[in-house]
Amino acid sequence: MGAEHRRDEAFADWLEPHLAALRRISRAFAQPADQHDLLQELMVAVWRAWPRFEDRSSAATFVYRVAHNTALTWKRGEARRRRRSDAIEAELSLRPVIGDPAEAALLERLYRGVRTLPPLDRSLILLSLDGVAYGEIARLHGLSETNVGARLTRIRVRLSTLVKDDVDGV
Amino acid sequence: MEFDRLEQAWRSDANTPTDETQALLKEQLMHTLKSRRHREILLAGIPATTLTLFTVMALAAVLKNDGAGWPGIAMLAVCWMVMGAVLWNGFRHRSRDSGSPLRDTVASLLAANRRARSNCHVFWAMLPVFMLPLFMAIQRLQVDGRMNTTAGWQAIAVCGLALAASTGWNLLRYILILKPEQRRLEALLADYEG
Repeated sequence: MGAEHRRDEAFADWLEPHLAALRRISRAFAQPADQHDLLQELMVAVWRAWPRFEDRSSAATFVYRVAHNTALTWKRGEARRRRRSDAIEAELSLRPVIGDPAEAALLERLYRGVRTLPPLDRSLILLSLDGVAYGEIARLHGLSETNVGARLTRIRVRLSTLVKDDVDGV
Repeated sequence: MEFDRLEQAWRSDANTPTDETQALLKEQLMHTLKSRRHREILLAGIPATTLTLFTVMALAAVLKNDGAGWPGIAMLAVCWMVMGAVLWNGFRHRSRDSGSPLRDTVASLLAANRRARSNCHVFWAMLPVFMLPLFMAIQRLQVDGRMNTTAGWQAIAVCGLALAASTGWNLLRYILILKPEQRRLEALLADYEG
């Protein structure tokens, strides 16, 4: 058990800089009640894939690939519904309102807008918002750079409209 | 609303975990890993313990009867091999990440889903093939006087129940898991093509 605990700690230290990204993915791909479950699934997916990580590639790219892969094909399980109230509680405890409340409200609307997009668009816009270059997004998804650019332009317009409609209460 | 404004909100403090949240996330990660490992050990441990128990009992019986009943040990050896193969296969495929682009992963998941659905079709097509020899064997045993009518009905009931349970399980898996997953993956792949 000692060796396993040390291995888990080493993994946790390695993943720590990317935990925020995993949380953003879980907020963008799952409804609030399921975000805790998806976050756990993302963590486990990266943990399982970790032995295949090679230092010559970027850790961030590796985490993005595994996490987006899991999130894209993730489906809420029936058993998880029973734990919904616990999940909401855990999620809320992880989300203290910091900074400007208006900014936090806008961010929540943005996440709501992202969640209404189709899964592939969700993944593309998340990667773009996280500052991943078009070339890298194209390689991760197996699309051409031009295709990624065209899709992102369309998604940005749609997302802006979605958030604006939400603010206007349409 | 301008997208630049949304990007600004994305990069704001509201979307950046505080040190406290970061520590909570790490704690949650450690807890998740621990509980997942316990679950995996339990899942592997239950069949291993059961099989060990059967093996010990069978070995004791064979030793007590001067080697009689050794084919049972051979059958248990096959069970051990199958369990080892299943566990090894499960361990090898713990991660679906193959380093390929996500589009290829979706395509391979869809191919795996197609194979699983084909297996279900084969199972259903084979059902009459299972049933026919069963009826014929029971009838033969009754004709030979080695099985009375009551025992024949009991045998049919037990085998029928096992087949019904197996069919039901496959049917539920097909309707509730495989078909919705197929639709989801096909839509996702179509999105990549579009």
